[in-house]
Amino acid sequence: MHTVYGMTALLETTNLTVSFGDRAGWFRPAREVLAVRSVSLALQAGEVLAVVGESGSGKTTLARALLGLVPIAAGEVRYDGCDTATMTAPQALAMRRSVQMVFQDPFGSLDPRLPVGAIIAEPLDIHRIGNPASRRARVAELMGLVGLPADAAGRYPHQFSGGQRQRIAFARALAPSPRVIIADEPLSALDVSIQSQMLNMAAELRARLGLAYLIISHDLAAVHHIADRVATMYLGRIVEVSDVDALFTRPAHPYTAALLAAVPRIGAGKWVPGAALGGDIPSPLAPPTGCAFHPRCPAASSLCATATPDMRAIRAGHDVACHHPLGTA
Amino acid sequence: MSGSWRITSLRGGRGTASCTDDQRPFRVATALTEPLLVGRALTVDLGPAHDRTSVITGLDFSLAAGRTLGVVGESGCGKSMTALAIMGLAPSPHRIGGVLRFAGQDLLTMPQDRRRQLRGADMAMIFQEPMTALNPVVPVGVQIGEMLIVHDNASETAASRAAVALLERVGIADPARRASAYPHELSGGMRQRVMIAMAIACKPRLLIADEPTTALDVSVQAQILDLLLELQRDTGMAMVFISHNLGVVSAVADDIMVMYAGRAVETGPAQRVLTAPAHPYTAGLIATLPDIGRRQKILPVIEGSPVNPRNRPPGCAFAPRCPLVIAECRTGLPAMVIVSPGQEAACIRCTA
Ligand SMILES: Nc1ncnc2c1ncn2[C@@H]1O[C@H](COP(=O)(O)OP(=O)(O)O)[C@@H](O)[C@H]1O
Ligand SMILES: Nc1ncnc2c1ncn2[C@@H]1O[C@H](COP(=O)(O)OP(=O)(O)O)[C@@H](O)[C@H]1O
Ligand code: SF4
Ligand code: SF4
Ligand SMILES: [Mg+2]
Ligand SMILES: [Mg+2]
Repeated sequence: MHTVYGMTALLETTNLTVSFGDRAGWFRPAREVLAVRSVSLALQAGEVLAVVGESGSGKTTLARALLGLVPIAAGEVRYDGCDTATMTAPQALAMRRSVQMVFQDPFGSLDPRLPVGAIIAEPLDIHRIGNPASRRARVAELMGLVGLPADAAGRYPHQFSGGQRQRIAFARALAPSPRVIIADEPLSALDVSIQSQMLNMAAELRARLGLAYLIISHDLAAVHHIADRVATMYLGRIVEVSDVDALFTRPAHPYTAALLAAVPRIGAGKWVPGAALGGDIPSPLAPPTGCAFHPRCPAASSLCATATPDMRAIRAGHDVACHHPLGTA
Repeated sequence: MSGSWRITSLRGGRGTASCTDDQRPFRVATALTEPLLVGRALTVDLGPAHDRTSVITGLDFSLAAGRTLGVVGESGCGKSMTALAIMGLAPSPHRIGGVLRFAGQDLLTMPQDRRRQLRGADMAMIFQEPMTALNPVVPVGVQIGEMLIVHDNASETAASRAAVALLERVGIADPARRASAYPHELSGGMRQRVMIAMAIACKPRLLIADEPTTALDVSVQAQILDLLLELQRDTGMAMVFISHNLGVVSAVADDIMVMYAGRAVETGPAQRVLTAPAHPYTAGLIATLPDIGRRQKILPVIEGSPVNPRNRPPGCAFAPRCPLVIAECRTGLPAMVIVSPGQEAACIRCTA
């Protein structure tokens, strides 16, 4: 159990809401997309929290809001107990050093004109950490940590494979000695053999450096391997949070259960058509009333179409927002 | 090249006495009923004559109507190039060698216009990214209808009616309205359905699906797998299903071909290959996968990264990464050996 009550979470949101305005068109009034709706989530020091859900559910927007990259419409983000909206400049600087991001596409996020050594050193330059000699030493240390060859510093990103580029991105994120790494789909562009290398590297770095990770991934098997806790997101809301074993063996939200059932597994034999969750995730411009999942939910009742379920604990450390959670009837 | 020919003929010669229909060499198979798709010692070399690189070498496969061949392997191993060679779409200039037959016809010596007729009508292909196959400025219903006008000489009214029916068949709600939508107005899952509708418009006997669910969410992936299996059940089409996701291949394939650096390293019945892999590469691919419900502290890994077929090392191409490598592995190319009924692996340390 990682929700330690009475302890300050490292990174925490309360009722966080992010909205994207859609400006009025010629024949259309202005519209509002609520990409993240009233999300309350806490990441403890040293833990691995995964966020899963279909694309369009708001995972990337949540990560960007945590990093201050998109404006917050309502609610708050706190780092080490301080509200980001009111924190002092030194507190904000400390947070920017301590919360680093790794993106899905290691190619798009690395400047192709810079040698790898300069890419990794960039956060040190930005935050004026050390002097040129100590930065060089730090870059060499970081390359060792992520398993890059020592001669990599002088080469350019395009000279590396996808997996090596993801190591470069990781080394860069580690440079300012962060406490949290936020990784958005860090594995999805990599081959399976490289994914397992990266998962092992992430686990080893966490153990050595005491890092916390917030990992966004649609690979549920990888999530089960690396995460301590998992949050399921649907149409901007967190609908279930639990420690990973309970969530994967006894999912309480019908959406989580449907996601798990959809994973094809080796040795399960040939697929029997008909069990897939129907429909697409609805547009956040016109979310369904009541529980947003009700048009696709096999367990929906008439209540679900009108009343939005609140998040409640069904057992210690396992919260779900559903009127009829599975396994509790 | 001559090396691969020799190995294939050796294999055929040795196999005849004991093996099942599927493993008989090509000349025997033609005498009986020939499978829908047959490749023997298939090679693909790309580039102009003075600068050729071999990307596919010595592939043997056969696929019967109503069945699915899964093709797996890491990126760059030649999965897509195999598909393109079957479709007659390998990038030019190229040279294709060996045997490639479809419905009893020789694809490699067939006139180009006949090949074009086959493509789209009798064999169709879908891709990971539907936008590469769809025209962004033409409504999707029109694009589907065009297939029928070109290949089946349908009238415009018949084609547009059929397009709506196809959209309905692939599970698109409100098909009459969606027919006039442009590709960018549809979700990724719906675009994939539209591409499938185009592919099945002329009732092909072979559908090649190249990573058709790789860019999709698990839920939408499950819907697309449902759809493909239903279509196959209803039409009896054969499928070549390419994916680097072994779980997905396990869900759809009857047989599997595992590729490494432009060659097949293991072939056989899908469930057999995935639950009792013989080749160290197949075993490695399966072992490295995290699995739901089975947490391991450290995942087994395949060290290093895949080799490009252009710079294959001599001997077994997997030797630099193989945990079982011995000196002999680096000297000669391992031949395919039968390890269990219908299952073959190209590894000198594999025995039946
Ligand atoms: N910059 C933006 N402007 C307008 N809408 C956006 C923007 N970014 C994301 N959205 C919308 O917010 C919703 C959530 O998107 P996103 O956070 O990217 O989800 P996920 O990462 O789970 O796929 C989507 O409907 C998306 O279209
Ligand atoms: N248009 C091309 N010209 C030259 N070589 C190519 C071309 N496309 C792919 N290749 C090479 O052919 C090999 C096989 O590629 P491909 O079939 O796309 O692999 P996969 O689909 O398994 O990832 C790779 O080494 C790749 O570099
Ligand atoms: S609240 Fe109702 S519709 Fe929503 S997930 Fe639960 S049972 Fe399904
Ligand atoms: S032939 Fe040798 S190197 Fe190749 S897979 Fe077999 S044991 Fe490994
Ligand atoms: Mg995203
Ligand atoms: Mg490919």
